[in-house]
Amino acid sequence: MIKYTVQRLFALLLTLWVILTIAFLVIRLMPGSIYEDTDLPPRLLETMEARYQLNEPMIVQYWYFVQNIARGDWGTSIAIRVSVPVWEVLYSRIPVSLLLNLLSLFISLPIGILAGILAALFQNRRTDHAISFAVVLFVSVPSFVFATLLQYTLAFRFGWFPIVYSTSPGGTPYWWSMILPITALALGPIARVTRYLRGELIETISSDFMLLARTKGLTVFQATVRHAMRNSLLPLANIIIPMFTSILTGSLVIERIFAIGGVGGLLVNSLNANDHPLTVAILVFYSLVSLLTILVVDLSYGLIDPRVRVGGSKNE
Amino acid sequence: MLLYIRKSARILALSVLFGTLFLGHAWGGGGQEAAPAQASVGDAPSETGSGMLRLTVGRPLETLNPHQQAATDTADFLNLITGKLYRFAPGPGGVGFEILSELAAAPPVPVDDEGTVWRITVRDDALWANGEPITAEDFLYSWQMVMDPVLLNHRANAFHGSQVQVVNALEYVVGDVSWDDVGIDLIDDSTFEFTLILPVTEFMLMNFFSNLSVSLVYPPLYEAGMNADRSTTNYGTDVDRMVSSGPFMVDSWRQGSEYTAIKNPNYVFADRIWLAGVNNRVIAESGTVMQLFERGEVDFVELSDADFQRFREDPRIIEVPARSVQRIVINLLSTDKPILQDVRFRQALFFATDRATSASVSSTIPANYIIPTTHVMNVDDGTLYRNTPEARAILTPNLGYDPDLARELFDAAMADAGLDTLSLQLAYHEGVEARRAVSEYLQQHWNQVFGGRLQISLQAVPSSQLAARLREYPNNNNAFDLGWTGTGHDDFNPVSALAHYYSGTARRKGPYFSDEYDSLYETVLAMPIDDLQGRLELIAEAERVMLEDASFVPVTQGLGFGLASDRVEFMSDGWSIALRYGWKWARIVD
Amino acid sequence: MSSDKNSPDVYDEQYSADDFEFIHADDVLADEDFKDPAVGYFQDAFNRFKENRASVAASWIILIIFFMAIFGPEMNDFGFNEQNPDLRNMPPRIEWLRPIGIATGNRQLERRRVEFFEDEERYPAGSIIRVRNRLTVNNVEIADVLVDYYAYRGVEHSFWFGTDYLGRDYWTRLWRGSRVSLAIAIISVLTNLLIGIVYGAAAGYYGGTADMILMRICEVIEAFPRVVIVTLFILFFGTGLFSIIMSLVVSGWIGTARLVRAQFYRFKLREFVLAARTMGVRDSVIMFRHIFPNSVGPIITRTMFAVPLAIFTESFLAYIGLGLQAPEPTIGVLLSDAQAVLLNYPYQSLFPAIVISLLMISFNLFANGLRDALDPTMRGVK
Repeated sequence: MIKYTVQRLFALLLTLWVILTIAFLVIRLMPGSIYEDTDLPPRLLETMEARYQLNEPMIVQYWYFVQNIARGDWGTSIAIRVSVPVWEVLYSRIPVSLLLNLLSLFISLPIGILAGILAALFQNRRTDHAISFAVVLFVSVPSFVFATLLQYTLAFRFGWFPIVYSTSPGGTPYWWSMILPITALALGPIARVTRYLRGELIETISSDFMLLARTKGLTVFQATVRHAMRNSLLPLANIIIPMFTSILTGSLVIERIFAIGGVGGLLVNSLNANDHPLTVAILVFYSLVSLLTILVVDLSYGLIDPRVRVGGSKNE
Repeated sequence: MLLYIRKSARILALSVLFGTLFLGHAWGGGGQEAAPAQASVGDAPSETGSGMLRLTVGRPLETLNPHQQAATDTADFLNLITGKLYRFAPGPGGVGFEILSELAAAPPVPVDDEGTVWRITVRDDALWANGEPITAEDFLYSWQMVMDPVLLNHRANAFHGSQVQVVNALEYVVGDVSWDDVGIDLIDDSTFEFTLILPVTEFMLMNFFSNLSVSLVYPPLYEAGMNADRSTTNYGTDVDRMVSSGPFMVDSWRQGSEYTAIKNPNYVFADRIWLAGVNNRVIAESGTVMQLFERGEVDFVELSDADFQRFREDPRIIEVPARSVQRIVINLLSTDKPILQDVRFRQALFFATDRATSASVSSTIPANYIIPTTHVMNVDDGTLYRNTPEARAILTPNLGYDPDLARELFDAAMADAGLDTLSLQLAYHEGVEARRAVSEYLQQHWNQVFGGRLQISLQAVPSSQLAARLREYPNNNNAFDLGWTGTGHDDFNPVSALAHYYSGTARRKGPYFSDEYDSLYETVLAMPIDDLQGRLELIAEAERVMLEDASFVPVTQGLGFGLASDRVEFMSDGWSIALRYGWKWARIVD
Repeated sequence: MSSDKNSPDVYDEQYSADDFEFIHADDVLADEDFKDPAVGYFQDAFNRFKENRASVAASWIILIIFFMAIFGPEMNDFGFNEQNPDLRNMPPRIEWLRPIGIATGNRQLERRRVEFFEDEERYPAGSIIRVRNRLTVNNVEIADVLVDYYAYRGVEHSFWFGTDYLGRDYWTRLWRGSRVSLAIAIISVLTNLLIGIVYGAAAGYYGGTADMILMRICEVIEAFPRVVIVTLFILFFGTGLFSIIMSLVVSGWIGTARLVRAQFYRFKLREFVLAARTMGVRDSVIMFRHIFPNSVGPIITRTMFAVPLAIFTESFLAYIGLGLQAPEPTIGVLLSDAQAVLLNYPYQSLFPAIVISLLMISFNLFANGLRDALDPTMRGVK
């Protein structure tokens, strides 16, 4: 297990390097200059571009790029927050997104799991239909429509909640202003977890070991929670991966509608503003988050389901 | 159809009238009229002002360093907090405007007859927001730093990029000469002497020094923020890394979501600032802003096309004419589609464009010209360039829409090229709804005018990429077929609208080459500054040459609309909002 | 497969004396032939699917939407790109619904100047239905006025679902948009399925180094957020069908691949696989004949869920401005355009929202039913 973990960590670093290289290539190949909106004389433009070695051949630029990163120098933002080190820009935006998404995940996981179990236990009965309908409703309306409707009705028409997210942390108004965005964020994950768990459980409930469990006197509920759940958690991990990733990467749509200054729209903005160093940093950050979650989930496969021998070849 | 032409014509007439009104009053000896009623708030503003003006912006603040800013929203905010030599303010009685000598002691003084050497004396009683005196050295430092050849700021071109061109400014930035050779000299404790390449008027110089890029930075913090090789400074990257010197000072800056300025009690004209502060909330979603406005939580909202249709007759509506003409650049270098090189084909597109309908589907005004209506020809009497007989004479009738002529030109060009049908691609800004609506309209309209022989496919492109694509022509002749663009210019100098098409300008949005045009432009730049009539004729001639060559098809001029809440009382007749200068002089009546 | 096993309910049947007869000792004793036709895997699944009424209803809705997507745009005289710049944003009007107050073609104009109400040129005779909320702002008298918008604009014919910002018929655009969205979804989902199954099977079955490498490739691809992938495709290939489908495909198959891989991990060490291998069956046969059928249920379910998800993603892309090439509509394009004018022309959001919701709901219910029906462990169970 330890050997495997170390192997995977090395692989992770290698993957990161590949990503870094692709990011570099892709961004340098994009049309557009750092100095987009200025009518500069040709000589000045040359001088300014030389500052970022944009006049050198690609391979030389790549060498500078790798050298700088090896030294821990990721550069400063060019357009989004001028002259601020790129990681600082990211740090300043992450906490809000993290808070909102964590809260919404804390809400949605238990609700989703509970609803999934209920739906599976009462398969094709009224409870199941009610839950399935709600689930389908939550996943069927795009989040920007849902968020706009929530905002329009509950905040604008009835005035129960603030229209936008409050910018001054702490106090009741602040937490109050988080309810709508968190709700809008949680609906999708709740629905996804419920739906997936229901499906998995229904499959497991009808298997032999569940019959055995029932035979030894467990109730359906006990059997489901103690035996079936364990089997269903493995595929559920597949569903939870993207959720963990979105915790750190934020939600573009919700943050836009509720005016939350999070990390959600940063990538698109920096891409559009030709803020190359920031774009690279965000890409690397996103990759790191998703790679780490995948790693954690993979490693936990063996813990959740002992039948899985991680990394085993076909003959093992 | 008739209905629409009439309506657009009305909008056009309104905006022109509006333009003439404010500028006409500005220098026409206005001020006799009574000042607006001010009883509700008191006769003079208090030390800290009263009432917070609540605005929204689309994008987060990028910096507080005036040497680095690029975005309009950022410029609006920096204009509140940085001190300048001169500043635009509402004219006496709220009519027209005047230029205040803010940190300068008096208007510039000419030294020679040509208008190329000027002296400006700075005030000796002005203070930074932290209470320290503002000195001439502070200005000298700020100007030297903006042009610094190692820092290479975004605004490094400040002393070279307009008609006001300081001797050796460009050469200093690119590292050819030393600072001593630059035409900015401090001749005593408080007087600067500027040596310029081109002649300018007093007004042009004051207008120039009201720019953000030549405003103040606080030297101790600018210096303290330098890195080891002095290639970058963290000045203005946070609230405590800068010091304000304008009418307001920075109070807070929450990353990505909100920033606020409060009244600066040390400001020279603090007795003219009524507001306690200005709050900017970052909200990208226009629907959200509209809801906040309707619930009275923000004081101003820019109206989308749909919202404008809804509030069309609301008395609170404010017109904001945009300062650029939206036009379709034709790639006349294209080797894939050589017909684009044919002037008849380009003219066919020009005459096939129904600008009245284009304007009505996008809530804009039709434009068959290149220099927008906002340009002032004569700053002494406020004459707008577009209202002069010379500028009117070059315009084609019926807003340049003549389908028969268009077909004739089209047929001739197509016959010579041996083409039966033609497909072209029109690139437009992704996310700009008005532009997409006009593009979709023109796609169908052109197809109808040319009897189905011209197929246009539309392509949405992120705006930075669109600009880049139009600029790619020196390296790639086929980067685009047709593409939208629009450029803003200095309102008080129509010549600035011409610079963009001059072949000596580096980063032009799209190819355009004409020796005739270039020589006209060079002539007008070098002309004696007081020969207004001569300049006017040459500018009109240059515009005519451009229109005739039809390397781009002007379609509309933006016309924004806004709603301001009842609690805001403007200290001027509306021009200031149009030019985005006016907020700071407003009052809040709760 | 033949039905060689007796299903349990055979024993439950009541036999009467008539069912038995005497025979001679030298007669050949033979079982009676089964009269019931053999029930195959899919027949069996179909039988169980029919029992699930919600799923059956869902399949009908899907069929109806497909029908409308194919024939809806031809049902009236307007083309999807036929513009009427004079008739922008007309409200919906359906003649036979007017008496009950739906789709009346009326619209409330807010904050209009009272002084113009008498002006026949602005408000043609009979166009004003009701005036209310009179108030005076900045010395101007204004009021909200409910007008018969068709009379107000002098239009004779009805637009069933109203028109959009260029005066295009919304009914036609809605179904045209559904057609394009469905096409995008189906093409991308099928492509994902194909890639995902082969890739996942290989990774899961071979394991070890092959799995390690294959999964790292997945991670590299996944590490690029979808927004970046779309943006890049649009930069290099422009907006349009290709960019959208590719951005759904580039990372979309990874989910299926992971699912298949997990299923393979689950089954590859089971006895029946070992048995097959012992008998020298080829790897590809083991993979696709022996292990894969166990994953069919989850895969089909996933595919059915993926169709609405693709439509959903497409609408998200449209919302952030990376939609299809104008003037071609998709559900997402219509929805994101409408969201911007939700407060002004709510009907423009309503129709695409209903269609996308119906699609999502019915595809999901359909998938649920299918999933239960295809579950091999449920075989034969009523």
